[in-house]
Amino acid sequence: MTLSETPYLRLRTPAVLGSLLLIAAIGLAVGSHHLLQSAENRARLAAQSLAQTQHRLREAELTAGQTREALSRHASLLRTGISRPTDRVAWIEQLESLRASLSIAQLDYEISPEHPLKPTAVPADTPPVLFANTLHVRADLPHEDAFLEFINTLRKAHTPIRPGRCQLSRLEEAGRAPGLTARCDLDWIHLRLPPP
Amino acid sequence: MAAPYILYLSPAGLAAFTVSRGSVEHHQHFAPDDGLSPFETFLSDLPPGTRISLLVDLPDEAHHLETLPFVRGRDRRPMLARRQDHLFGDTPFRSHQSLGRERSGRRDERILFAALTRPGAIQPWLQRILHSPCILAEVVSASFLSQTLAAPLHSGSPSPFLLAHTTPAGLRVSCFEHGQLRFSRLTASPASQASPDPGLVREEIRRSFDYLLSQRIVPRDHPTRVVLLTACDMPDAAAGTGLELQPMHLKQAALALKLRHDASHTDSLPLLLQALAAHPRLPQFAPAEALAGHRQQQIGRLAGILAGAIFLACLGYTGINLLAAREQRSLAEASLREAALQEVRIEELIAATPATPLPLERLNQTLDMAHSLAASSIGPEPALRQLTAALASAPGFRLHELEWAVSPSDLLPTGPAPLTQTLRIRFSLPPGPEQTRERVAQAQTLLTALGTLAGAQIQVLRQPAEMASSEPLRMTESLPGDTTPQLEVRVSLPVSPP
Repeated sequence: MTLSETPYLRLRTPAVLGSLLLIAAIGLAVGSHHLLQSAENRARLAAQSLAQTQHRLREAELTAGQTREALSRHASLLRTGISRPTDRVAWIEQLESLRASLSIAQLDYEISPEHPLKPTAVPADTPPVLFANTLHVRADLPHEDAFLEFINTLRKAHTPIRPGRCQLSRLEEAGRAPGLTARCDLDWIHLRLPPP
Repeated sequence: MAAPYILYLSPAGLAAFTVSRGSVEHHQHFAPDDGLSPFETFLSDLPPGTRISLLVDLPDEAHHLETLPFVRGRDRRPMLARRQDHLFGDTPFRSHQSLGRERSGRRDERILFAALTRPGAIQPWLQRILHSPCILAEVVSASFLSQTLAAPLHSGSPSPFLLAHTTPAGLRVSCFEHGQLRFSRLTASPASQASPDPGLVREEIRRSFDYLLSQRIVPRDHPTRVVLLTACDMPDAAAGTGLELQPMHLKQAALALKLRHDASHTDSLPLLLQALAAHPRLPQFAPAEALAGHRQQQIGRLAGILAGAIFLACLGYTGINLLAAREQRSLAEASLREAALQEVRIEELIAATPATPLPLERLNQTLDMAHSLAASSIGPEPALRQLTAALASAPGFRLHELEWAVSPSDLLPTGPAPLTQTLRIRFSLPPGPEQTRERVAQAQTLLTALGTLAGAQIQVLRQPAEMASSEPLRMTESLPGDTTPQLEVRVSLPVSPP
């Protein structure tokens, strides 16, 4: 009994069809997997973008709130008269008035030129907005109460006046009435902000 | 797929049939006298890959029952082949069927070996089939196929029984034991005879019975039942001593076998063909090499099914991926839409936020600084009053000098750190060695009084030498130009808001 010479040829068609099916199947699977991955990437990027936008929105809301609060504080500060520049004439008049009212035997004073007040944390190239004129005053006062009245009168005349240092020494010179020598430094603080 | 063909091989030639839904269709008959060319033409006209079952119904068939040791595994096939070689010589058309194991002793296996002993009657046809585009699926014999008819017709009784039925080849008498073929014999009838003579039928049954009796296959002590499938009524049912003839009409048999029967059918061939179509797994007589095409077709079909299954799995995977990708796209679009809406809100918020004279951080620093300055502008009066209250308990002292300062006075605050004010106080103490005790007592009284200041940190800068045990005591020691003993103290107080 002899057989057909090419029996394997019968497997050709199913093999070709099977291969085509396999190739198509693998192509579909790989293609759809790639599609899914790119869709997942897009979704991830979109989610990141949304998260960044939400963060920026929160920042903007926070900044808006802080801005309103800062402007409110700024307005209340301006009401204290801190934006008024130093009035040297008023200061002199006040000192002379105190000389008379408190019977100050000797009164020496010096008003320094305007100098900026800058916190140490602020960079050097940042223009200053707070300034001060310092009054160095030396007065011979009869007693401690006169000193307190002297310093309080100067301090309360203008809100932005800040006493920084005072030295009281007892006068014990022969031939002079007992009293006090007061040496004080007072700053007239002035806020000068640029227009918004 | 093309419909499978059943080629029925009998001494009268070969007939082609198809069975479709119980309907048997006869296509063509090929007589040996016409030569093989018409058969070749018939095969070449069939669609390539058409499955062909060859049903052999020839009288040249041998059956031999052997009891062999029960062997499994890879030794079984060579052992069976050796027995078949020994029993049937060089015919390639051989088969076997296990009839089960003995119930006692070594429990040997009873195997019925069978062979188609005249290969010359089969090979010319088979050769044409193998060289055609068709595929040989199986070669079965009518004897084993009649087993599928016998089992439902005779159920229950363990005794051997006979089944006699006619086919175009003649009268076939088969013996079954426990529903399995034990022996089969075909008596060829002349081609001109449409239905066998009843007398001849009885005679042939009798002869087969006698043979089986001599072989002790059927019992002597009680009659053996014979089921005779016939298309006509048998006037006399008596078959002889020891036999119990039970004629059964083909229609009745078809009903019992759940097969279709046509009134035009005069023999059992249509039932056999239907049974073959319904029972594809029968003892195989085809040589292994003749079934190579069938095996390849099966492999191809299996590969196709596998490829199809993989394709479907990948299709399902693709579908799932596409659905997931669609969901991801929807998510991305929703996120982008939400982001665009929030961008609009950001722009509106920025537009609604008033402008500041300075960048916000700097403005806040400036405002903090200004507020700190305001908080520290309380002046020396509160500190002096605290000092006065503390020293009220120490009368008779002499305050020489006092210095008050906001600390640090030369640096501006940058944050909410608490400011302090510093008092540097210099007391004049009683001078001279004769007032040493008073001097020390007064200094201690003053220090005790200063210690009552709430929240104060006190640092003694200078004190009488009598009070400093770690320093040498020199009575001449004094400040240049100052002959009065001094007590100098620095007091740090927190600045309270006005």
